[in-house]
Amino acid sequence: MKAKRKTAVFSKTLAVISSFFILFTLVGCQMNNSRPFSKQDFVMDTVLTQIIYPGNDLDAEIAQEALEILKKAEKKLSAFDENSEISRVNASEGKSVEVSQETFEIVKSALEYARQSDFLFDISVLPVSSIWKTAIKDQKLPDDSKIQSAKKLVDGSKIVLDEEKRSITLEKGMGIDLGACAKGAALASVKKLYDEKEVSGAICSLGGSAMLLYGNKNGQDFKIGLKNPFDSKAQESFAILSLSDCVVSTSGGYERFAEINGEIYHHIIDIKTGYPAKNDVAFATVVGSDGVFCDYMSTRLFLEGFENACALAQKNEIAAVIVSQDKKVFVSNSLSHRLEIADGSFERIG
Amino acid sequence: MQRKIISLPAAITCAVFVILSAVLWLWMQNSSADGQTVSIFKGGDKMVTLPLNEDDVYNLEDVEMTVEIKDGAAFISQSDCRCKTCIGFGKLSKKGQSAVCLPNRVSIQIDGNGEVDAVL
Repeated sequence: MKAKRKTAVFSKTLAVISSFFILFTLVGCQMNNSRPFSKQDFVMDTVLTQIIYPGNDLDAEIAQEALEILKKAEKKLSAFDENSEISRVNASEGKSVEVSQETFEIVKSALEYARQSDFLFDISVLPVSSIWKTAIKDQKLPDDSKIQSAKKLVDGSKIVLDEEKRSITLEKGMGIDLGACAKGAALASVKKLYDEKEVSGAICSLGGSAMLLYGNKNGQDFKIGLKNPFDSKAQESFAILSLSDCVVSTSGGYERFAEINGEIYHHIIDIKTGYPAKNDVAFATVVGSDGVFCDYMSTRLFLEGFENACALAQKNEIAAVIVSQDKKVFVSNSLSHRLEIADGSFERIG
Repeated sequence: MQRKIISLPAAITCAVFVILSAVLWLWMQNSSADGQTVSIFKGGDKMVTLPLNEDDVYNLEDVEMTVEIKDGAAFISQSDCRCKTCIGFGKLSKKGQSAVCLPNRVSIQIDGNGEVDAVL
């Protein structure tokens, strides 16, 4: 009798325990899929999006510190902040200006890349880029004569760097605009912060043109949608890249533009014409570990024209996705298995 | 006589918990599938998070801007900025999609579940 009761109590307890186990396992599994921390801010003349995985109480502080780091980078590198180091260099009227180690290193590597591109990518573009920045903002076409005379002041080969004095010298009237590589450069400092804070995974995106993919998402690659360059309004992704632990830079004419007299004018300047680049490349994305390189190379590939851009990426084994105006998609071998084209109107050629 | 492995009350208790777990799990699955939200930020501060499955109109303070939610998509329907680029972003309904108004320092972003984690 006693043994029977014991068995009944035992089986009841077992049933309740196992039921609780099932309940908590199921709920627990669901809780694991909880949302990561996500925040948007404005810095470097664009929107900063940070998504930190798996999402916990400290993330808000980390995101704030990252924002402060980027604000500091802007204070050093922006040609459109009159108190920045770069603005001091631009206003020097031919005199040498000493800058911080960080700024010097960024200018040095950007200049090296500019030389490699035969100054197709040119950081001395400020006289022309500032005209187009105003034009896009005001939605008013600038005078051609103004562009042609500004163009004469663009010549990156005349930038003089003094390693010992850590100084930069420009000729009178010249100006440096690091807009094409400052975001990638600044993301390196955010990466250091995430390292220090032992973040397991995070996405730090600056305006959709430069993105740091830190670590991974709970052990899996991040899925990054590539915006359809022909249909930015609908915001549909034409392809999905699966990536982790890298920097991704994109150049496309749809990011920052104005429609003036029915024509699109974007922010990537072809210095040979002084006008926004117009060729058969619609979109170029580069994946790598160095933000300055990725920014430089995506801009260069955009400026090169489709055929040259594909040949350059192939020859130099650059991890790139290049889309032509007629929707042909070149994918480097190293990214081939990571790219999935979601829109059937695009044709994969590499 | 065959020995009972589990008594009737215990079996009922067990069944109740299993059914409860299944219902709870299904409910959480459903709520997360429909759990897309839009977060509206001004100057980096989150103003509000709204569900995409309820039509709504949100007017921002200090700036003449309206965000509308209609038929499961969010969009900036009105803005006092000069360029109106923000309105041009169109309707957003998938995770990672966002629209930005740089002059007014306003951004909206879709959160929730989806195929992609971010859009470049």
